[in-house]
Amino acid sequence: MKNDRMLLRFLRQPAGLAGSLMLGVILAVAFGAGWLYPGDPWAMVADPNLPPLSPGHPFGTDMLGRDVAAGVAHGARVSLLIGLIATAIAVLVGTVLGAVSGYYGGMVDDLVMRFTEIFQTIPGFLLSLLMVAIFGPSLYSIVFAIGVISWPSVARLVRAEFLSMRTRDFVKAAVLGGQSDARILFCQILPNTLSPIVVAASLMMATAILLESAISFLGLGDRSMISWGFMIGAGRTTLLQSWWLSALPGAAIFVTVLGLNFMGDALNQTLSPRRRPVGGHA
Amino acid sequence: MSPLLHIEGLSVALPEGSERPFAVHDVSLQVLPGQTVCVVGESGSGKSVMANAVMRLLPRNVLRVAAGRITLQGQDLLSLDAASMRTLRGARMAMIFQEPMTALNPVMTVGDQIDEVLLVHGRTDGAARTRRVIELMAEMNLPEPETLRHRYPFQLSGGQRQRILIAMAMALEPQLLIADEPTTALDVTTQAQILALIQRLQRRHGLGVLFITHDFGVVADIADQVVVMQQGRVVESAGAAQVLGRPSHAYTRRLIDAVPRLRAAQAQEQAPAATAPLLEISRVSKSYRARGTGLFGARGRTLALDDVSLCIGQGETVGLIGESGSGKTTLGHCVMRLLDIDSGSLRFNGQSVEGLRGRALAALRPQIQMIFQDPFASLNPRHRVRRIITENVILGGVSPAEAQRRMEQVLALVGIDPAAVERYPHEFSGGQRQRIGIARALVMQPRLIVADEAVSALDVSVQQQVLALLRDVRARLGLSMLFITHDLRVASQICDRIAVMHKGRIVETGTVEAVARAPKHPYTRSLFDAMPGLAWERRAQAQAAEPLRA
Repeated sequence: MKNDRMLLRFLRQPAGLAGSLMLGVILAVAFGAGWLYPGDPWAMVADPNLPPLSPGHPFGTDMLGRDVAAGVAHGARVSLLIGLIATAIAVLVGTVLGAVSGYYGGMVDDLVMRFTEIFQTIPGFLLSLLMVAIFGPSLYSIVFAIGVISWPSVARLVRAEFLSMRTRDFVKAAVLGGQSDARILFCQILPNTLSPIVVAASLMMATAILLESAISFLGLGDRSMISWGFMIGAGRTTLLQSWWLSALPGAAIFVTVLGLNFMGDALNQTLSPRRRPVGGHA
Repeated sequence: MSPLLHIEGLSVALPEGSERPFAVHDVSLQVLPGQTVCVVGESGSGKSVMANAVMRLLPRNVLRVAAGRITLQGQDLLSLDAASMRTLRGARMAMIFQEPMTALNPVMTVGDQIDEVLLVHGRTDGAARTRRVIELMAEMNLPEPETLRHRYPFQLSGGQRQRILIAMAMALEPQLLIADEPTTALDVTTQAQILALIQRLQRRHGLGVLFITHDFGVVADIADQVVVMQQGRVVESAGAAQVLGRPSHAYTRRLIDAVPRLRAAQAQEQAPAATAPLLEISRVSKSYRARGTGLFGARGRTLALDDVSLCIGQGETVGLIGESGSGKTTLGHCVMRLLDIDSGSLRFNGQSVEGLRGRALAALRPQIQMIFQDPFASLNPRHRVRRIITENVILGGVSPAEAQRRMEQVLALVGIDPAAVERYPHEFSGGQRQRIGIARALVMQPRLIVADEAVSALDVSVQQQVLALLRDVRARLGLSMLFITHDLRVASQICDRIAVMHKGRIVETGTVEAVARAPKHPYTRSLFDAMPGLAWERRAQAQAAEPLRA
């Protein structure tokens, strides 16, 4: 009942509707990639450098005759997968550290926050490139690298929420009820901080997809999997002759990131509606 | 005399889908020059909305004036454009608010904020403005205006901040002052001073005051006319003596009857039995580390509890009275072992508990439970009532079936429908939430309950019900209670003895009657003198006694 109304409120917003539609299309393409374009997206299937809207190859082909549409579809899998897993890692690590830091305060807080600042003061993108270069380009190292540079912002957010929540009376009541610290952290306080975390996660996923694209663009991506960033990077040398090689995967990134941002905004509005400013002590 | 402010048939519409169509419905009232009109009502009665409508401060698109006229000295306020309204605000009518900390700009010195009022209304001579600022601050009885005006709001006390707000309101000598619960956030002694200040300003400047409050004591002290509002409508409007002495509407009578009185009979009703004390607090001290750069830049420790000793007997209720910052909440937290004490000892049921840790502390927890002040913050908004009440007992090792049985028992005791346990806290009213909070404490089967301002956030009629409930469960379950409050009248309703705290020390203890009849400590005396509506209460008591004598 309550969830139905939330969903309705989410979809009533233009941003929510547009974001869901955009992501829906991308998700459908990602899931349907194997069925739409069976076989290897790296395979040469036609003449090289066919322009878009050629018969049988709506997005054209690249300089080796590979189908761009197949690449974009299979690339969607990689981008979304990396975005999702990297975000999950960042949210998990950030939430646990932020929660502990905000709830206990004092020395614990100091230690965790100084540790967080180490990561915040190093330029994130360079750090992720460095890690990928050291561990070798693979799906795992990319996810790990993106996760490592993303968690500090979650930790700060969660810490701030827990700092204000831990003084609430219902937390004191839980202490007096003899509940363990872990239970208070994750069963009492965490549910009350979920909405900002969910919103931050949706925006973070967009950043993760951009980061992955940037890493692949520089040629540090996983060579066994086609990705949007790699396609843009590969097409850039012939940008003036075959603009679609870079532009179409670029458009896919654009749609995904915009869709995620829309969803983040709409989630923010849905989960934390500003209280209506009707007179307080009327 | 022609009215200063005239409200005729004012209706303010609420957005569609609200619980009622109008926040304010067909309200008419007049304020004459030099007169104080008090608007009284419980929360949600529409009194603040009405005041904000006069200042044209209603949030646009949410609250809309649907009908009626508001005139200030014959000038129609509702049809004025924004620019002319701005020249009126401050110059001819001004407003003060409940929470002076949020009404002041935190990053501007208070002197600059008063100065700004003068500046935006076209006083360009800087030196003259400064003179006026100092003059105003002196008129508000603020100490050393020359130095105080360079301070920031957070460096001032609550009372001083409210004086600054009044200085800003009075800067341009308006004819009408609208005061929206201006003393609700203040201590009683400060409240008495602010009320006296407003009355003095009124006499000197012939000010008309529209005073919004929920406190009949304050009404009795300052009102000429009283307007009682309920659910957005005026139910009674007459002279103060009439409304307070012979209220005609049933709702007004109910409100006045609910106002807590000083009850001296309590002591005879229930003489505390001379039993072994349940809780012994002896020579407890507790200090906090002071913030680094305080008012005087000194880094040290502030003493919150200074050598405090207090006993609570089996089945006895002890009231802890004091102003904010007196250390009463700190003492409550120390008793509940939410804070550790620096020195002294705590004995509960003959056992020393100040050093308990781990499992021993967990075994103590259920025996000392707490009832909180704010029923909106004390229940986890994401949990259903069933979980809120039963979670702790089940974690404590009680079987779910037994927890269910206990829950039904306490719900019957506090008067909550057991069918409501699958709902979330936000679906309940403030009074009901407080009952749920009490149920959560009782279900643990405690022996001592610490109630920290447990009824302060409630409307008077609800306050009365919750006090009755507390008295009832205490008698039935034989509970001891430490009842922390700033309100002497509320304390007298429920406490066997009271202890008065001042600056971290207990300055006086005794039965309510003994302390009320002959307060020994000067601070206790000032607390009793500052109680709002004291004269009215004495009159009412004399009247009640009259027929007996005849």
